[in-house]
Parts: sequence; structure tokens; C-alpha cells
Amino acid sequence: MDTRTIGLVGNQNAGKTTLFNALTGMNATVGNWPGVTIERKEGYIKGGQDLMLVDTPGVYSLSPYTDEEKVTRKFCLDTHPDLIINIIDATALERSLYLTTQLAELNSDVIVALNMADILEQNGITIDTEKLSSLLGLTVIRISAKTGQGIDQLIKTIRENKYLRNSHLKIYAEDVQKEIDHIEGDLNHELEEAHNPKFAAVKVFERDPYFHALSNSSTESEVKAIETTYDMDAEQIIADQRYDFVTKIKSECCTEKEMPESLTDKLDKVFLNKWAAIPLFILIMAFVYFLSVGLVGSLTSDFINALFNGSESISILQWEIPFSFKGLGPFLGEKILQAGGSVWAADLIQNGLIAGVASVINFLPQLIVLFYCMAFLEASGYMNRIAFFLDKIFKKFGLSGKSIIPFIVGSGCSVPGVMSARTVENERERNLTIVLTPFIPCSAKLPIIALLSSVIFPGFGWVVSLSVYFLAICIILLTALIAKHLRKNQEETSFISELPSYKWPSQYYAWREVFDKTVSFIKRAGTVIFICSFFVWVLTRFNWAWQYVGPTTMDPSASNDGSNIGASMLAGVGKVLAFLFIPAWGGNYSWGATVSALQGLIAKEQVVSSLSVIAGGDILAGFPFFSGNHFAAYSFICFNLFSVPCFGALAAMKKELGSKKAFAQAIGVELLWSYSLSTLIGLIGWSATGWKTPEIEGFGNNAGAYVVATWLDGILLTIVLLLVLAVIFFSFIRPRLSRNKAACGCGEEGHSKGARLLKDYHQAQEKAAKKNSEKCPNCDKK
Amino acid sequence: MSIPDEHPRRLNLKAGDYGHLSDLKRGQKAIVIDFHNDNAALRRHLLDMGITKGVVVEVKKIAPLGDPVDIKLRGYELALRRIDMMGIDIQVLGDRYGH
Repeated sequence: MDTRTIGLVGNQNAGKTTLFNALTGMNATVGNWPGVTIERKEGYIKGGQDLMLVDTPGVYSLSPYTDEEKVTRKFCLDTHPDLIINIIDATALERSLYLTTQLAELNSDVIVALNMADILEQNGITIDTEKLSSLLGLTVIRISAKTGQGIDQLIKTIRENKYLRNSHLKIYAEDVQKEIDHIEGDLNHELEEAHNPKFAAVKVFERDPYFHALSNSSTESEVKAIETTYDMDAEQIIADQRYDFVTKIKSECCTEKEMPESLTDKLDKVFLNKWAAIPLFILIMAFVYFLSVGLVGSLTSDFINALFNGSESISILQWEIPFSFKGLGPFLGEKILQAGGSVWAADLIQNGLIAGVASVINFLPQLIVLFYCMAFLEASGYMNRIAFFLDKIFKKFGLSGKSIIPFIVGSGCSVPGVMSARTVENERERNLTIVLTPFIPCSAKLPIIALLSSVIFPGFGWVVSLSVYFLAICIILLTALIAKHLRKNQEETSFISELPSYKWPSQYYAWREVFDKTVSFIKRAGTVIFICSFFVWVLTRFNWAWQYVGPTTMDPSASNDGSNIGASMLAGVGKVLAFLFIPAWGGNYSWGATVSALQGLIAKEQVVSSLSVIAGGDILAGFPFFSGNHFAAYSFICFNLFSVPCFGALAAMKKELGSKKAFAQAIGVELLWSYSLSTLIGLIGWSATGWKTPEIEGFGNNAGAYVVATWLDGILLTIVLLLVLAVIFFSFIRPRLSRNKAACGCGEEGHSKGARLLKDYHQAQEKAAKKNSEKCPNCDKK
Repeated sequence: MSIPDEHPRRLNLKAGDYGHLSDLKRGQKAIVIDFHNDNAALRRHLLDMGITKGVVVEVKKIAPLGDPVDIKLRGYELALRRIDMMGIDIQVLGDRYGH
């Protein structure tokens, strides 16, 4: 049986992915911000393998602006699908039908799926579907992707081929239409049907550079003549007449009632309030961290730790509750010894594999809460508001307001975060966003942060976790600022974004997303972390001669378990590298912390897992300097937060950046930040101890090597700090000084803000005047 | 035709006045009469989003820091930066209270 290809095309945020899921029974990610879908997805329509449905990124037009929109254009033009389902947001009929007029010019049949039928009434809109269908010459089916209304009818229509064939409507005014038909006639000789001659004709008329080769001089002069009649350029004429056509249709088949202020407007009075917007954003993020790391984390993490590693008592919030439990690890360890197994086998199971994996699984409950909060925020429509009110700040730093979306998505996982950077139109802003997104604490970094936060601020660890999130944003902005100043040509960028209505998120999709992310987290713990734990155990329990150096007794009451893992292979490597990290760990020489931090390059979860294996289960007891020196703990967090992300994120970054040079620069920036920032914080911690000499084996108390390490760090840090200060000075202080001088001179509108606006305005005017001088000779109509 | 090019930023526009989209206050409605934008991609994008000659726009929301601005047109809401709105010429229709 032949497989027919069916495209799902529509505006951003029109509900394509929800409809895709409803039609195929699959489960793709849904959100309420434009641009959730960034790559095309394929699936079979329910009830057979004969109808292949392709979900495409949302577009407003077939002239694309961003990379993911080009995907859609390429799909529509080059694969010529048998049928296009054009999903339409019924509450924004005109803008949606504008795209329909373009799709109708393709050589594919089009079915219009009128979505959001369920909320039309509450918006005071009525649409005559039959009339709309006859005016468009296309089959129109009223659906609600969310509630499932009309979906069966849509599938039935497709299966039974009972839809109108594309009759290629006449959209334009007579003279324009005549010219386009004329161009089409010419093109018919050159293009096959498959190349959409009708669509190409319009593009030739518009002088689309992509179709330039098809144009000729006689066409050009005729188009010029039409432009003179309309006093607009060709592009504008086409857009204008498409919208005229659509407006006419709308007035004939649609009525709108004046509605009282909508809920969205009421909510925006609060969430976009001049004074409350940014504090509310901070409060919302604080609430997310309080709920996940604070409340759920403290309720569950000790308990889960007890299940795996055993305990006498567990602490919940500030209270200590007696809870005597043997724990899976010690239980299995004991069984192995009873069965006559050797100590190393018990140690492998108890302190290697179970402790390694448990240290990661421990954080699952708080991650589930974090995932849910993020899914809720994404589906509610609040994401675009954040982009909206942060745009002005982000613009100053050379980023777009839309960059905040990757930064929030990235708090789940950097990979989708990096990919969602595609919604940023400008290439420079987009690349910068891609490089900076991995700085955001992702779910794999959360275990490190949550673990050490509770040490730094017992009972209020979530406050520290939150501070880490905002520190990450500060470092992101600072890096963006430096990047902005390293580049000379400042191109004009713009911010064009729809503000969708607020929606109460579909709980089904929100929980599905949580489920998917949770499953993938458990999978990683069961595979990558499990295998890594094994290798870490081997490398820390054997020396270079493959002699066992691990514990010789598993009795927890023994004062000395007889282990000498300081002689192990990993310790051997770590002891060399640890010199570099003496300042970063607050003047402590720790090979265990060093090798663990470096394992973050494979997967960030591996950091706690490795600490746990090296410490033999109890991390805080094995690494007392974390509790002894809070700066050392914070610096350990920072090193892992800003260091090179895991392999998965690196691959995503490389793909999205598409340039080896940019990729190498990105890694350099990350290494520089992680090392210098953690050294800076560590040095503060070291100074707090009165520059205590670290204990280094074999060097005695007069170790010379750490001094060298410190000096190197000191020099490096001074350079970084000077650079940062210079950038801050050049971008904020100096322009303000010179601006104020200029403003005083002209004396027009006071000093700072008014004058600045006026200056911007004049610049825009000059540019416009240059452009306009030849076009409109008689301007002064007023 | 573009009319208000030589004007400085005008505040307190009244019904019937000419100005730029960026001059409107919250709640004011206006009709778009022309563009004078020299960025072809931006212009194309704005056209596709429905900002064509003769369309009625209303300033609905202004970001807390004064930029960008959210305008309502053709039944939906669109956020734009002020600098881009300066390139759009309008004639004020009044505000939603009929002033």
C-alpha cells in the first residue's frame, strides 16, 4: 500500500503538536510559547500505516526568518506532500488565514482544521464553518485539539479522501492577478508541476531572492509599472492584498462580540505590572526551588538515602527523626559475606554500585517536582511574558529577550535548552544563547547543588540553590557583555513575538512530560552512572600493580576499615591534578574532589556518584572540608556549574553552532569561567581560614608546590577581573558620561532618558530619510 | 505616503494626529498609514504579521521597563520593540474610551 505524506502546517502556538499527538497517539512535547517544535517530527495517523503525518515548526508565512521556520518552508516546497492539514487558531483568524492563502498556492491539497473551537464562545466569536469553506474553496473542519472534538471527523475525511481539491483561489486584485497569471504561464514552460509554479510566480513577482533566477527583464518592468500604480513595492502589494482577501472572508463568515476585559488582560495587569513583574518572576523561581529542593528534597532525600545506605535517624527540614533501617547496600553486603564472599565483592556491591547509583536516584523526587513546575510554566503562556519584560535588559547585554526561554528550558536539561535557542532570530544572539545555556543549573547538576546547599545553609538549602540559579544568570549576562564588546559591528536586531493568551495547562501533557523526563533520568542512572560507578570503584580500589587496596572489613563499627585508597590508581592521577585545585577547594588538597569534578565532563550526575563511591557511601563524612569551609562547598558547586557541559549537551551545541571555531571558543569560555570563578570563591574561603597550609602527603608542612599553584591562580584571576571591570566600565559608565554631556549641550528634553530616546529617534530618522529621499518626493500631506 | 518623518517624538497625540506607532500611549488606537523601515527582513516580517496599510492597531500593554510594547491587531497580540515601531507611521483614531 502506498504511504501518503500529510503535512501539519500552521502558525506558531496554533496547537500543531497537540493535534499531532491527537492524530497519531504519540507524545511529543507541547508548550504554550511559540516555537516549541523545532524539528519536523513524523508519525502514522491512527488506524494504519498508510498515512504519514509530519509535524513542522510553526510559521506565519512561507518566507522564513529563523532556521526552524526554514524547515517548514523546505518541507512544503520540496517534498510536495499529498495533503497539508493547515491548523488555524480560530481566535486569530486573519493572521492564520494569511498563511492559508500561501498554502493554497502550492500544488498540494489543503484541509483547514479550525482549532480552539472550544474557546471561541468565551472569546465572543462565532464562525460560519460552511461559509468559510465555500469562500476559501477548501474543506474546513472544526476541531479542538485539546479536548479531542472533531478529531475523528478529520481522520475520517482524510481516510476517505472526502475533501475539496485545491482550486487555487484568486486572491489578488485584477491587474496583479493578471500579471501573476502571466508569470505563471511563462514558468509553466520551465517548471514541472511538482515545483509549484503558482507559488513561484508570486515569489517572482515579489522579487524573492530565492526565485530570482526565474525572473526576466520584461517581467521586471511590468512589476515596476504595477508598483507605481499602487505606490507600494511588490512585496507590500502582495501582503496587502492577501490580507484584504482574508479580511473580506472574515467579515463575511465571522462575528465578534465586544467582550469584557479578558482573563489574560487581568492576569497581565499583575504579571506585567510595572513594579511587580520582575519581583514576581524572582518569586516564582524561588517558589519552584523552595518546592523542589526545599520542601520535597528535605522530605525525601534522607529517607531514600536510608533505604539504600541504611541509617539510624533521618532529618526532615530542621527535625531529626529516629529511623533505624539497614538499607539495601549494607543488607546485600552482609549477605555476600555470609555466603562466603570476599570483602572486595561486598564493597563493590555496597559502596561501589549501590552507593554510586543511589546518590543520584536520591534526587529523583525533587527533580520530578522541578520537571512539573517547568512543564506548568511552559504550558501556561508565562514564558513569553518573561521574554517580553526581560527583553530590554537582555538587549543591553547583546542577547534577545527570547534567550530567556532556552535559559528556563535548560533548567530541565541543556540539550532541549540549546535546541530551543533556534527561536532567537538573530544569528549572533542565537549563538551566544547556545554557548551560554549550559551555564544554567540543569537537572543533572541539581544533585551537586542540592547536596552542598544543605551543608552551606542547613534547613534552607533551597535558598542557596536559588542563589546559584541567579548567579548563573549574572555570569551569563556578564559573558554576553564581554562578547558584545569583543565584536565591533553591532547589527540591528529586533524582537517580534506573539503574546499568547494564558491557558490552564493540560495536566495530561504536563505529567506525560514529567514522566518522560523521569524515565530518561532513571535510564541514565541505570546505564551511564552504573557503568561509571563500576569504573570509579575499580580505579579507587586497586593500585597500579592491580593489588586490592580497598577496605578489608565491612563492619561499620570498626575504627579503621583497613582501606588505603589513597594508593589507588585514580588517587595517583588525582594527586597530581589536585595541586591545580588547592585554591579552588579553599586551600584543601583533595584528590577525591578533583577527580569527581573532572568526571562531570561525562555526566554531571557522575560527580556526586563518584564522591559517594570514593567516600564509601557518606559523602559529607568522606569530604569533611565541605562542611568545614562553606566557601569551598560553594566553589565546588560553581566549578561544576560553569565547567564544560556533559557530552550530550556538547554534541547539541556543536550541531547548533555549526562552526568548529565557535564551538572551541565556547569550551574555552566555559573552562575559563569555571576555573577562575571557583578559584576566586575558594580563595575567599582560604583567606577565612587564615591561609592554612594544606596537608599534602610527602611534602610535609613546608610544601612548595601549592605556593606555585596559588601564584599562577592569582595572576590568572587578576587578569580576568581586570577584563571584567574594564567591560563594565566601557559599557555602562563611559557611555553615560558622554551621553549626559551631549544632552546638556542640546538642552532639549532634560538629561538622561529623554535625551537618549531623542538621540535614538534621530538616528532612526536619518536612516529612514536616506531611504525615503528617492521614494516619496511629496511627503508633506498634512 | 509617509507624513510625520520630520516630527520629533510626539507625546500626547490626539485623535486625528499623525505620528509613529511608538508614540502611542496605552489604550490608544491608530490606523497604520505607511512604513519607512530600511531593514528588508524586518519589513517582510512585519508585513507577514499583519502590519499592512490600513490595519487598526491598539497599544495594549507596555513592558515594565518601557520596552517592548504589546499591540493588538487582527484579533491577536504582538510584542515589538519601540525602535522598530518608529518605522511605522500611524494616524490616531482615539482610545477605547472614545477620546
